Amino acid sequence: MAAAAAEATTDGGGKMIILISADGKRFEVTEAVASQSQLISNMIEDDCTENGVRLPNVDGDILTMVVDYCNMHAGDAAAAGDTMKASSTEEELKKFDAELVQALENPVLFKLILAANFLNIKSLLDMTCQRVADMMSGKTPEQMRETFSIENDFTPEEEAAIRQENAWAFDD
Amino acid sequence: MVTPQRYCPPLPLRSLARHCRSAQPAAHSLAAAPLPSVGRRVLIRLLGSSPSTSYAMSRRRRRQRRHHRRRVAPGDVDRISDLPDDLLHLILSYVSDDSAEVTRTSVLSRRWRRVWIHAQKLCFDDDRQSRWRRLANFGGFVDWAFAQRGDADIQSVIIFMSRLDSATPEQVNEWLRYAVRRVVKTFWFNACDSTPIGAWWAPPPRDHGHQLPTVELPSHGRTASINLNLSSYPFRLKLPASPAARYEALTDLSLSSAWFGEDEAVAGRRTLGDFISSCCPRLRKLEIIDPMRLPQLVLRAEALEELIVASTRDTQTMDVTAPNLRIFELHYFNSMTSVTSYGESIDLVVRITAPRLEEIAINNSTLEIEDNLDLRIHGLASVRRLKNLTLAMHGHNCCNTDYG
Repeated sequence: MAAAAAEATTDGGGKMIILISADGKRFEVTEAVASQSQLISNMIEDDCTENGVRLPNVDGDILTMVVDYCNMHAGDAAAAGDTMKASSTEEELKKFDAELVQALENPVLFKLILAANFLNIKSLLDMTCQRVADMMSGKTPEQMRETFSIENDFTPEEEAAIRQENAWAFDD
Repeated sequence: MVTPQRYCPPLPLRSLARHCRSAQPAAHSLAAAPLPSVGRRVLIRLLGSSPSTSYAMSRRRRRQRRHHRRRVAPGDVDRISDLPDDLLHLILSYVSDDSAEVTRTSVLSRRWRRVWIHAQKLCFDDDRQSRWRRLANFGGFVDWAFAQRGDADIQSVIIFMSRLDSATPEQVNEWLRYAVRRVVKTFWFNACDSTPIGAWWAPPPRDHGHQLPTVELPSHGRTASINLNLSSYPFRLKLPASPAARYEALTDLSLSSAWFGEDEAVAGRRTLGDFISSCCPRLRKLEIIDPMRLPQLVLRAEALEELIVASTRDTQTMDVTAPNLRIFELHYFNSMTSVTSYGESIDLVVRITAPRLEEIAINNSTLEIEDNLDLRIHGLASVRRLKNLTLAMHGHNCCNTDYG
């Protein structure tokens, strides 16, 4: 069994596994694609993907994005042997990543972060966290609150006290 | 004797702090784990037990409280605040190097009040405020932030101290003790006056080194990269004397403008060369810039790959044995006392035994006829690049040459 699986993997990552989202949507992907998730990679190693992998805290629409991302990046890994192909793929990938990240807005962005964290896909997690950091950079606390709809639950006195406590960081 | 300044939050904050501690998620234990622990957390969730039960409870409490308050914008949901602390820390690690931005998140809401303190990268800079404004107790603030972190590890800490009165030497020493215990990756302490007051025109103290404030490297450290820039007003650098001293994880060390005082023999003292040779088994890169009172440097460093020595004032001898050394750079050496060898006036004698040496760069723009470098390298077989050689050879200067 293990030998057969190994054979299938060397043959272009041919073995398929099924991912099942919280709302019951099914995604059929190759092991090579799914293995970018450290979580699933561990499960493949432990041979427990036979009946599909249930992902109870990832919605179908988010999982679609994750699978797209993994499909795109698995292609890169497979083409790494071919330098010419790899370089063009690299450009495409950068474009794909940039477009994906730019398109992400508040609710989806944070759902994707949670999914990347849960599935343990480091590159996707880093990319999405970087996007949030970029949204914070150069902003005043007021602007940050507005960007992320954070409710200021301090009384004015409390806020003033915290500004004083961290006076070093505030320009006013 | 100066007593260290103590940082004391203003009174109303103490009760607020107590209140917040009970309302805050118990995710600090997660924060203590380094980032790669993501996998472990995922596994815990898979097993069905949520690690954030107390977090969920505190969220509920917060929502109940929030119920009584006005919402910012109806319809918009604050999702970022619902992320667990370790994800917020990951996000904060990507926010720009001006970590004041990270600290400013403390004022966003109760949820955020102490998130920044547990970020994996902290940078404190006493010069970020307007120059003419005195900073309210910078040193005390750094003390306070470290105390808040308790025993938690951190990836990197950077402290820029542009004014000597920003912290007492005792505080600086306490930061160093904290750093070598808790900072895993990078500790950078930069006591560099950004305005060149004193740095350029005042001569460095030569005879009164004993009166300089002392920075003492603790006997044990777990930090991978340490960068101490003690310029503008040099600190005496006291190296650990304990025979058991060990910096097992140290791979990069950079020491700038430190006063070593090795021209005086002191019984039982460990020299810089001894320290590196016997306490830093994994050191790969060593930078010594503007060392004071370091007449000789004798190194036996097994793992060392890169050695950069610059702006020496009174160094006369360097004797380096480094079987894995690839790169050696020597810039702006200048000796006050010449030693006589072979009837010539020699300022700096360098002996290097490094069979794997690949790159040599030697640059001394202040080189004059009477300045001489006696350089002997054993094992030149693998050298493939000579960079920036500005050497007096046969009476002619060879400038800015780059061979290889």
